[in-house]
Amino acid sequence: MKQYGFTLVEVLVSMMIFSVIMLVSVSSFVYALDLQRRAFNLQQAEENANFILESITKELRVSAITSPLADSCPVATLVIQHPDHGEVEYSLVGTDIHRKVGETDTIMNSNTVKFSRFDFCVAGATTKDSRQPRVMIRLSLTTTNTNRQASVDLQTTLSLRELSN
Amino acid sequence: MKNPGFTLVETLVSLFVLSIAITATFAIITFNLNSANFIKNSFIASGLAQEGAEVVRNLRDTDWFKGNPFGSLGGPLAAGGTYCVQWDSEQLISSCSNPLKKDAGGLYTYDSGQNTIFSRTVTVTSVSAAELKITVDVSWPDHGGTKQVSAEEHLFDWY
Repeated sequence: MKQYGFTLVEVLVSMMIFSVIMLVSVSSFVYALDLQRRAFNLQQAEENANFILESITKELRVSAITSPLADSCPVATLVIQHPDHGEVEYSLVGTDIHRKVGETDTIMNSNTVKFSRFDFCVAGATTKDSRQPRVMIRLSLTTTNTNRQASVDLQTTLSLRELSN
Repeated sequence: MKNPGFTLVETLVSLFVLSIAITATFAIITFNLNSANFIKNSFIASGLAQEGAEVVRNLRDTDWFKGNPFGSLGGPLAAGGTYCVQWDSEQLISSCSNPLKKDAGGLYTYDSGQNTIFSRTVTVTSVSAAELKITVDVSWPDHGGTKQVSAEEHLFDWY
């Protein structure tokens, strides 16, 4: 019985096409994995920065500044008097952001990110200076995962709600 | 029994279909990364937009202490217009060179540093004698187009 198989040329041609397609698809897949890692790192950085910035601004807006009172920029530690939580202190210790209330010291970020900068600029907090206090907060963070590391520099400013000249 | 196997054409067609599927997957992943970048920029921009609105509010509060009339916002302000502010502004800046700059300390101002991609404008509209509408727009270029985050705030004359 006569066998209908591939001829040698057919096999060679199809193998060549297959290998070209595989080469392209595998390299794009590896690239896509890299992109995915970067997207994941960005997400980690954002989640941390968002949580920290939101909780600080929420607390700070309704508080009064305890220290520093004089105009200072930048300052590493901010102490505020919150109507419910009492005295709250924010500072950067090593690469972590600490929130201290009384004896309770909490690290606000997860271990997936490192902070290289977390400081404040305070203006108008002196009494009788005819200015409403304002605080600028800025933070820079990178992900702990160095493969396709993501970094973000953020800044925002708040005007305290309680009138205080 | 006759067993013809695949023909070359069949093989080519199946490879073609496979490559389309792979390309589509790859396109989705790339789109995903672009979204991640967009979210990062929106996030930075929303901080900057909040800064703009808060500074204008601060100027309104300071006006009360200084005895300035409502709406002066620290300086001789026209009835309305588009201005700029930075974190330590004592009054609205009438002409500024957008985009914002960022210095080595990571501080976004118009004073010093490298240009960033972000431009911020503050538009003040007088709604009535006792109400100002503040619109803060932060925009940045994105793939040939422009993306924007806007914040709106209404300030009232409480005193």
